[in-house]
Amino acid sequence: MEDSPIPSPSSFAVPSDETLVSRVQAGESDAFGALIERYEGKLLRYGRKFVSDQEDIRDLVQDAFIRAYQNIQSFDTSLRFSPWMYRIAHNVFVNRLKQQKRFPLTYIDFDLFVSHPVYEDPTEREREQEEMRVLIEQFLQELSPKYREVLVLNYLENMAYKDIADVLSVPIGTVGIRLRRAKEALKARYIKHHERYGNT
Amino acid sequence: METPKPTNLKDAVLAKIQSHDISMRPRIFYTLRLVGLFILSVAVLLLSILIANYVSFSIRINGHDALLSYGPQGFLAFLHFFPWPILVLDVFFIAVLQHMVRKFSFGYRKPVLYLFGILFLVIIAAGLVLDRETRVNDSFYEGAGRAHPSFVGMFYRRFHAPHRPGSGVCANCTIITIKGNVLTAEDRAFGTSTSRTIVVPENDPLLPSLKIGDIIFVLGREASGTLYAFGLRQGPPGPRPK
Repeated sequence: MEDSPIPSPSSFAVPSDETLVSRVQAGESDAFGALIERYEGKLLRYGRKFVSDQEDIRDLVQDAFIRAYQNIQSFDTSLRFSPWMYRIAHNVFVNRLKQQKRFPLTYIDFDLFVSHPVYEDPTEREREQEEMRVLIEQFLQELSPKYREVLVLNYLENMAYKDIADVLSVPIGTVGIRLRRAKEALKARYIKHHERYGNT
Repeated sequence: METPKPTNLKDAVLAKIQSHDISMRPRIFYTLRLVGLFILSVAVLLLSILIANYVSFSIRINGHDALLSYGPQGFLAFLHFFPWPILVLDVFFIAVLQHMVRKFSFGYRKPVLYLFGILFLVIIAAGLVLDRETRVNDSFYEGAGRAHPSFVGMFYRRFHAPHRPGSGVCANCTIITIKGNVLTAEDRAFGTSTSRTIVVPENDPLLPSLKIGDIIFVLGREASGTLYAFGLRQGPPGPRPK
């Protein structure tokens, strides 16, 4: 009996997002299906933090994938795909909120004006991850969208500040200061809630 | 019979791709868009530098630099005569440029004020160099003095006008008569002039050497049609010689 050739380890390797994008750019549209499988759940979860209507979220995520496909030739495969995809989805969600007049159409955000010192501490995030998840689930909807998005991307999507900065097209320092303020706002709401209702 | 609509999100998107309802934009579209944005940004940058150059030229050709040598009063007069509308126009274009630069990843990573500040400094510096180190403005300004100036010449005429009596300044002041420390002079620009009587402090170091035809710069206090000078300065340099 002839032995079948042993497959090389590389043939088992899962292609990276960027490899899949290269294949889509080369005309292999099925590879886009694999990307959809990888990001569908993440984007639906991200969208739920912005839009309440489930059917609406599904349509918006579909719209985000359509836009990603249409613009995929603009993606530089030497960069990471994840922030690029989130950025498209973020823009789709924000546009919907603007249509619903739940997102300020034009506002001057002073967080963007000057540099804010930022220190990203992964151990601190790990330590407070669970506590923040609970607070986010409970009070997120009470925060303004600009604080909501950084909390979700950092604590629920586990993105680094640099990636969040790329998703939101803002300086890294702005991500840091928004995240700090968002956490303070969440904690303040928790304390207020605790004082009013006790441990319920 | 109608094909059933896919319920799965992935299948729905892939069905649209396969039926050519959606298609990828070609790479050339993004290249052209990037080139277009770059060209537009460079055009706005050059326009901003040109406007900054006019701010400097307006100050230079009217001799307002000299005001800064008169102490606090001169500084206030300098602020008064500063071409604010041109500067405001420049700030507007710098803001537009800043907005365009933020479309690039190196742009949005910088805080707004830093990016604006860097662009402002670079543009003002480039405008100053263009006005003070080259003869670009002077060449056009010379054309403004012709009997029938071109469109550009007419444009340059707007930068220079005699100071009105009551303004406390006689900038391009050509001496007509000298009687002791009282001068009559004309502030001239492109065929229009205003005649002034100027009383110079007797201890002014320039007074003994003055002669008819000299061009001087005067800041002073006006009363009853007479300009009581705080002091004299050499006249504005005017167009740079060839």
